[in-house]
Amino acid sequence: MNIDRGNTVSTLESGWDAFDLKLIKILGTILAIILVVSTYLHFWVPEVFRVPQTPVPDNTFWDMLFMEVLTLVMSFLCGMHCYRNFGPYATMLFFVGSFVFTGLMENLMIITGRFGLIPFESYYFNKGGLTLFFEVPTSVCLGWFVLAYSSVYIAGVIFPKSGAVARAAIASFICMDIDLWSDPIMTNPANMFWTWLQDRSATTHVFSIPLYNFVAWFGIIFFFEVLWLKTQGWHISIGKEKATARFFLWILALIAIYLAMVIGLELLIRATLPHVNYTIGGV
Amino acid sequence: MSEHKNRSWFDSLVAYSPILALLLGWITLAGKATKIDNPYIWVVGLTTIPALLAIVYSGIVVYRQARRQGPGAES
Repeated sequence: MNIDRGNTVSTLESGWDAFDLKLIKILGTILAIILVVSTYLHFWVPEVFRVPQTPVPDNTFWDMLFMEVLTLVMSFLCGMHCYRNFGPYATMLFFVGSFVFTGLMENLMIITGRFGLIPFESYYFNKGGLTLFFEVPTSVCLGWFVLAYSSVYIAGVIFPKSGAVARAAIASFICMDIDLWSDPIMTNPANMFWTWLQDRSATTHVFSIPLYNFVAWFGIIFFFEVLWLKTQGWHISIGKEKATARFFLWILALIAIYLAMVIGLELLIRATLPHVNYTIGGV
Repeated sequence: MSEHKNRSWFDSLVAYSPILALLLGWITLAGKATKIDNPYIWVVGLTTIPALLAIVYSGIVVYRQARRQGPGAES
């Protein structure tokens, strides 16, 4: 079976074993509980997370449902692709890992900024779906999974002989490149999917978006994909239970390290770069 | 997975799904960009050309591999 055009993965188990089934039950239950509680808090008790009540265009029930269904369908298809190429265990790790890693990173930036726990305010989501993972729409977390998986696959197709680090770097560049356009579009008053809270005079902006955002986009995909690509052999060498525990411990460690790096980067940008907005025609 | 032959449309859809997902994402962005009054948003859109080329090129590579390996061997 020709599994991977990179050189990290060579063999896989095609079927589900008892550990896979146990893992999907545990992870699925935890995620479901978080989604139900978060959605309840966001819509019915917004004062808990101090949810901003900003009126935004095109944010009806049907708009949100469409967004949710679209990302679910794309996630399902990409999940099937991952399953067929890497097997159930690696797919679960990629799905839950990317969902949790990017979701928690976004939540930490949003909530710590909102409650004044970091030196600057960050951003918040205005819309994006019917359910939430704490303060991040589920559709955004699913979008991260789709983006991360698709980009690493495409990187492997284009550069089949690349190693894990190079492949993750190429994938991260693709994602960051797309975000150079996506952030100005999505934050424009005509769309308002999310809102940046930093004052334009407080830090360096590119296309009216804080510069650190683009670096953070590169990093968040890069770190997760390196970890996932390196993980592939773990369950063979140390067993699935230990490999899973090690994977999620690395996820938590990377979140802490990465959060510190992003905050440090923004403070460095503020201290060293001119506080100007580099735009093209005002975008 | 080259051992399966004569796959259904769903198998082909899955095989191209990472490429389609990014392409659909780019088209969705273009749709949202039409709501913005400032035409320079399309000039900023030119920055995504490297990503767009990567997406399209990978689609061509997967298609050619599938053609070489026979029907339904895209992934």
